[in-house]
Amino acid sequence: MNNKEREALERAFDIPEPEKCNEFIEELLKKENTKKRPGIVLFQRMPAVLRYSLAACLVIAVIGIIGNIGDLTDTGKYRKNEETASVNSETTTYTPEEESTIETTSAPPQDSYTTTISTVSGVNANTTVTTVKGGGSKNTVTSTAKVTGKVRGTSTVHGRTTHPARTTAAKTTKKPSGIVTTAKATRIPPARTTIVTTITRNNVTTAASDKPTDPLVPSVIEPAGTGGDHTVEPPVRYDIKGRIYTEDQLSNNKGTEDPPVTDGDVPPSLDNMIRHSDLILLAEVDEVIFTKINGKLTTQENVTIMEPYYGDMNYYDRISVYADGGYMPMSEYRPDIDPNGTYYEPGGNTTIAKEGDYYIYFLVKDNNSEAYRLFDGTDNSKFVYRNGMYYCVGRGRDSVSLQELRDRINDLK
Amino acid sequence: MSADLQDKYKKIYRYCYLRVKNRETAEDITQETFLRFIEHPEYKGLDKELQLLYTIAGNLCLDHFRSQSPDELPEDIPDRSADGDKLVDDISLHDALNKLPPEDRELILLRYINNEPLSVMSAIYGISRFALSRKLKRILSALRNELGKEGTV
Repeated sequence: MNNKEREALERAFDIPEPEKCNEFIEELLKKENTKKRPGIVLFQRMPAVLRYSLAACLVIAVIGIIGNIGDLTDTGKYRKNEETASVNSETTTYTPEEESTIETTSAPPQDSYTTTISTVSGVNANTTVTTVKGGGSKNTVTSTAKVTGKVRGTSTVHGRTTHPARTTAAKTTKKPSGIVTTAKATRIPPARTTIVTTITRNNVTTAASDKPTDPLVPSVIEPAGTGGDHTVEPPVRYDIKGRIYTEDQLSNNKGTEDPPVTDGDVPPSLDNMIRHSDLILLAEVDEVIFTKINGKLTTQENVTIMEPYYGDMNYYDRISVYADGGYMPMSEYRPDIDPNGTYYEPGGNTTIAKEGDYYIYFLVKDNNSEAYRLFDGTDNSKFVYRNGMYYCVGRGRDSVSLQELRDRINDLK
Repeated sequence: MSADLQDKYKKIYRYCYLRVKNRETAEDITQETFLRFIEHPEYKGLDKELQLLYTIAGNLCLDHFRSQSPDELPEDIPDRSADGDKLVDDISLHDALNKLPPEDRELILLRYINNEPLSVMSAIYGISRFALSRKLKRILSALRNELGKEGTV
């Protein structure tokens, strides 16, 4: 749409300009500034270069405390930022101004403990450490020492273990003369970033260079282009309304009539479908229409092709797919029972597709239209993605990976 | 930041106006949206700002309708002071727009007037970008059919 058309649309919408925009924005900014998050507001208002540099410096500072780097300067402005340090059985040196005690406990699998007392002195060096007693071989404990305020110098923690510790725990004790403060870890507010996720896959067909990314993990990239529209207009469209009736329910009302006999056909094998399909593709369902084709209830799925594996369709082409079964008004089927209800015939399907679903389809051409049909008319001819594999919708248990499918198509076609 | 906020304010205002059809009410809801937005626990998630704003605004519009008495008619009567052929085209397009379902009008507003990307819109409406793209094409096609000529939209 060009600018002229956008302007025409804007005029056509005829929305009057707001009157209080500037006034409100001013008040909103004042309100935001008076909130007790000066650090965050200030951080957000800094130029991006400064934000990233500051974030990098803080990360280095944290690493420095952990890795026993020397003098760290308190910038004053961020005096509320606090850092975490881990306490483990290795020796680190730290000489703060006040004394406090760190007790480390190792907990080997056999439930016996070796306790070591270490002395740490330093400014505001009291640490709060999470203690978990280990016992089993699978127990793991993470202990952290949190330091508040100014951090200077190095800390010394002496640890001794009698067994190769599977778990370690540390506990702090407060000296009567010392001041214990509990550090609160704070999260450095992240800089404003936009995360773009792109997933790419290898395609079996040598298609155009603008291949789509994996649609099952959508990216923020706009669709590359548009394809041809080969969908067909159904002869009639049925809505679902009122109570739903199935054949089982209606056969009870029919009295002496026998229940319908199922076909008992064996579902087609994957290789069979690959060999005899006219189209094999991955597509997204755009629209689901309940209709009647040649007197039979049919569900028409209008789909957009995300990836063609076999056949003469291209990326982003739209086609119509017929599946057996669907809905029709009871007023047409059995008005004597409930003219306001809807009759449902599954047609051998276990599910009804909905807009936004993705499937791998095995399709054959419809004899009487431009549409395509599911290979056997049912959702045995559709595969849905789950946990890295594609599962047959109808059978549920049959699965294939995309690469395996591509290989078999290449072998059999 | 102020210019960015102004832009967002106008977008949310247009979105609300389309629903409530009254300038004052739309501005009130817009302002309430922003006030709730900055108090929202997800306020720090700046990459989801627009989605959150539209969601809050949509909910406030719904609350507004629920609180309204059935006799109130919130329509603003537009002032058609344009002249010449442009007026005829505008009226035709205006009428064609009014014949669309409200949801379709909203999609057109968000996409082509507010210039929201498909990714934001698909998050607001909970459908994929491709489905959304198809819907927009259908709506534009319906508009063209209604206008009875190619190239206007």
